[in-house]
Amino acid sequence: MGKRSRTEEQRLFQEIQKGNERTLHELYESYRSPFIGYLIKTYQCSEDRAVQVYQKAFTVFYFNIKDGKVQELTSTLKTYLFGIGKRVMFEFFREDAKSSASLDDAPEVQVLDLSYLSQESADHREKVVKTLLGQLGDKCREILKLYYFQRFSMESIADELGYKNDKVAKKKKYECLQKLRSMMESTDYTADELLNT
Amino acid sequence: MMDTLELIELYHEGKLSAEEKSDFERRLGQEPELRKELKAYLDLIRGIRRAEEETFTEKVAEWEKEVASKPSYPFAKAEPQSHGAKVKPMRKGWQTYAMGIAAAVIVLIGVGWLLNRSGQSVEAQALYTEYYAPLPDYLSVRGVNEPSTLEATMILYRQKKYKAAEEGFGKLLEKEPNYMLLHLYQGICRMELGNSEEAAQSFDTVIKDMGRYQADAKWYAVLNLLKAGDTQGALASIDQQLSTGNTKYEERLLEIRKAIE
Repeated sequence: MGKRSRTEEQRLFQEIQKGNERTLHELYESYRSPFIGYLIKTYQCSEDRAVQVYQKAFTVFYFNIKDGKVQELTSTLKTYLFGIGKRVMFEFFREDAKSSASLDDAPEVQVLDLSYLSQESADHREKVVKTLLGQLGDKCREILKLYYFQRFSMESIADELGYKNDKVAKKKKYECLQKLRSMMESTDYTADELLNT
Repeated sequence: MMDTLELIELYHEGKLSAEEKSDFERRLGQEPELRKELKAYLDLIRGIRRAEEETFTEKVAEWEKEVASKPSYPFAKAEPQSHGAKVKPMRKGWQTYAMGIAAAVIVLIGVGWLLNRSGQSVEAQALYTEYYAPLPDYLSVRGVNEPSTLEATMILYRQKKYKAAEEGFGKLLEKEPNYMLLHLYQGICRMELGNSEEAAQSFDTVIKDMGRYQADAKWYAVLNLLKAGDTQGALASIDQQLSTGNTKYEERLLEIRKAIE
């Protein structure tokens, strides 16, 4: 993987913001080897641990960019990802309490948010929503995903899903949210029952 | 008239005017039903996000599985490309070569056991060719300060300039004799250069260290024996490894064992 131009990095950054799965997949593969090699060498960790850290770091990397926590690139994507990797590694070290790696040499990276790492236990109602989403139609699920997860504008959603304009897309989005709300309200199941179906 | 859910969303997204916001918050204080609706809305949004986060996490796990199934990929944990396919003890070229040798031996010497022995050696080398792949470069990291000798040596290694790389690893080991990964790389260079005894010493050092690269060193030690034509030695080493278990090379070792038998 050669060094990318600034323009190319910027283009990739925008694709990540859009949640382009193909780009993310390619980046996952291209950064994996140097990232894991780096962790093994620097922290003398096992390969399994390095892979585990990479998966977490890549997820945080994507979420932070998608959520606009990084508005603009001041380093390369790779440097940003490696910076997150060091923090994730540190979290693992803390959990293990087996090592105390120094992060003094961590490169300056933009705002890091590792809050996703602590989202291990969502409450039942959130899990119920997840289950109900699976019962919602594909179109509805897609529009809700684009708006609330991908944080697309209504104009972008209209373009993406082929609605006439942003107003039509917005109306559809409310209908879908309303439908989900009704499903949640009308369900007679308890969270546990629903999750076990 | 604006729907309650829509109103809540505008409030949540900070899109209400100051007056509308103030009015909404006043209502929140007075209307338990509105508070309930707000909570439900927040649950919905969090639930949607959480579901998509989990979907992405699952996707990453799938990518990892996919990458790990590519044997040529550095740090891939799966079996080589021959995995799952029927193992051919000898490639066509080797078969032809072996038959030629066998014929010559019959004509010239006429001793049956020698024929067998020659064929065995060729088969071992064919297995070596089938299964050998250089250890990936675990050490180079672009963009991170590296000791220049190490970086230069790894470049030579990647370029398959094994003689120069072997010397480079030797120099590095003078400074860091306990760095097992360097021993492993040096052993691979030696094996590539056909110095099987020296290669065996390198692998042995790593094996005796009983550290993280022990399984890799054992694996390359088997390949080294196969390259040298020592089928019985390779078989003994394979059996020893299989008896202790816990090796990521298990399936490949079993395949080689089957092919030898």
